[in-house]
Amino acid sequence: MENVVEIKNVFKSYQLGSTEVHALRGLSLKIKKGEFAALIGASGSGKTTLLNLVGCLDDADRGEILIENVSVKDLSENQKSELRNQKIGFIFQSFNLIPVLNIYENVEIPLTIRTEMSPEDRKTKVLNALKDVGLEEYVHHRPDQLSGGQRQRVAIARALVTEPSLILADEPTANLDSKTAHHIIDLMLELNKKRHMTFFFCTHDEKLMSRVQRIVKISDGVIES
Amino acid sequence: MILKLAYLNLFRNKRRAISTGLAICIGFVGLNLLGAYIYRVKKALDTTSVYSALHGHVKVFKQDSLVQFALKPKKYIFQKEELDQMDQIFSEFSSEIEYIGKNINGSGLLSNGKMSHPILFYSFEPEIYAKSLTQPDISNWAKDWVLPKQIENVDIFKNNNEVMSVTPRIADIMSLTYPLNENESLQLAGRSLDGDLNAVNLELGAEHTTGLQFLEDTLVLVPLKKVQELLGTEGAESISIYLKPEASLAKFKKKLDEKLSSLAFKTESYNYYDEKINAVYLGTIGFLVVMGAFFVFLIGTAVSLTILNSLTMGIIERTREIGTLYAVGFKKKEVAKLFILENLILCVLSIAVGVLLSFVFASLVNSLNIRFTPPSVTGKIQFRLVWNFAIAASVAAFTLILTLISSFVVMKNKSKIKLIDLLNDSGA
Repeated sequence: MENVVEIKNVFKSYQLGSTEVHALRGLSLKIKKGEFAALIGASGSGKTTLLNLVGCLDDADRGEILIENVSVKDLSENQKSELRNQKIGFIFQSFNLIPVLNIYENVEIPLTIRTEMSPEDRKTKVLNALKDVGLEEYVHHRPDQLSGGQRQRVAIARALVTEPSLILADEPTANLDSKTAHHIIDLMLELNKKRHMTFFFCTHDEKLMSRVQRIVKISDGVIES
Repeated sequence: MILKLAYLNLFRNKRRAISTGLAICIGFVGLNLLGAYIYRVKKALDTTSVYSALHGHVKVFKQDSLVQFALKPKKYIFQKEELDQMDQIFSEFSSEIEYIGKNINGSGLLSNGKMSHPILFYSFEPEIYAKSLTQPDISNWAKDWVLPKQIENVDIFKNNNEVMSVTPRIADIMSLTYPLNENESLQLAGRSLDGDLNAVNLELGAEHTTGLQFLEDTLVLVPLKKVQELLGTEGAESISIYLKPEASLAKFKKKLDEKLSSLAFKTESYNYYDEKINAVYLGTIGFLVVMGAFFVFLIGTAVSLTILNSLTMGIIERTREIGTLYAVGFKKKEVAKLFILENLILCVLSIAVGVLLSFVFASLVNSLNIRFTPPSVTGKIQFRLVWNFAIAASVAAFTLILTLISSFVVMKNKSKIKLIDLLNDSGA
């Protein structure tokens, strides 16, 4: 099966005060199209760093990352923005919704910069995404009028509205209670099956791991299994 | 959507939006009122220079006459035949010229039989004087620089080449009353062009004011015919050309200079605001420009700093949100556009309120009829603010550009922050 993500011998280090922290040390990994993969590991193992690099939110020091066979190393900032908009959806731990916009508008945000898309197409896509996450009746609500679970659903709808090939999620259930966390994972699994979208997310929640198709364990900046 | 988001963002921190908007609004009103005051003074100076001081819009002299006329008047005066040649040229500009006056300046001694007073005389042609004083611009802009009696008695000068005008100060010095007593008479004594002593008899018509303290005890207005009689000439020192309102001064002067250069004798022409013939105009406008520039700088700096501060705070508070926008595919220029739009919306709203406040404030100041005496000016003038669309539009454009530049500077600086650092920011 075709690889959506291919990571080849990637290194990344940070300067933390006077100490250099080696977050990734020659990490290699492939994520296939349609996979539902969880990234696990202890705090400081490099999970978030890896997700940030795959999402083109940060640059690797060495090595190569390919998204749908396109190397992100030589892309300009604008090209990376386009890549994020067209190929990648993000689900953040803190939802990262825009408080002054209603639910519909929050989901619409990534599409507003697609000048080639007609308003009708945009509306259809937004309503479909909201329907997929079960929030079609909340379009006029603001984020502060929703529960945590509902907010994360909005964030999921925003991630999938652009129909990306890859959805990255950094601890998507960390701020949710256990029941809601299961609902969110159910939703992600459903979307993975229904829309054949690739999910790659990091989590600490061991109860969720049993439901995941593939578990990638990271330790000290390298893949353990 | 970006426009809507920019608009909604204004309501996130209402107190800050209001204080920033207020700063822009106060700056806008301040600049408008400053502009209104400078505009009123400039219009008053334009009007008094052209009509009250009888310079016309363009004044023509023989070349070097400004320096040499007092020393060699005979050489530098326009002779009758030269004036005729110039009249022919002027006739080609009938669509632009409203009327033309001839002038001679000089010095002499004014005597009423009891006492004599050294004076500078400025000639006038009765019809031209009457026409100039009854121009609508005089009542619109320079009422405070013309004595009411001057306009009331303007008909006295018409078709009467015997009537002169003195300032109230000279009348006071010489104990002159209008009209003169039957046993009183006025004589103006001076040197003719040939250097001989001469004198002419005059009647006292009315009073005028020069508007300037340093000339108020010196300058009298004497009919041109009488001055010519005194100097023994039919010529004139200079010609004042009064243009029609629709004429372009710059274009007219350029064409006129070309035509005048074809004459056998050399001439030079000056706009009414040229420092060589109107140092007071240039001095006053220069002062106003410097003062205006200083206030524009102060107000502009205050407004810019307010916008810089407000925008910087807005960005700091929304760092993670900016990171999210980048993450979903926004480019730097699109995020910059959002923040710049926010400030432009605030600026436009502030300008709208500022327009209203400027109108109210200017109307209030004008209705209070505050009078004051500016330095070196005779009498009190009204502190008037003449505000119009052109001033408002210029100040609005300046304010918008200032907002745009301030916003751009902040965004340019903040766009250097790495995306990952934006997303990791706690928003504190």
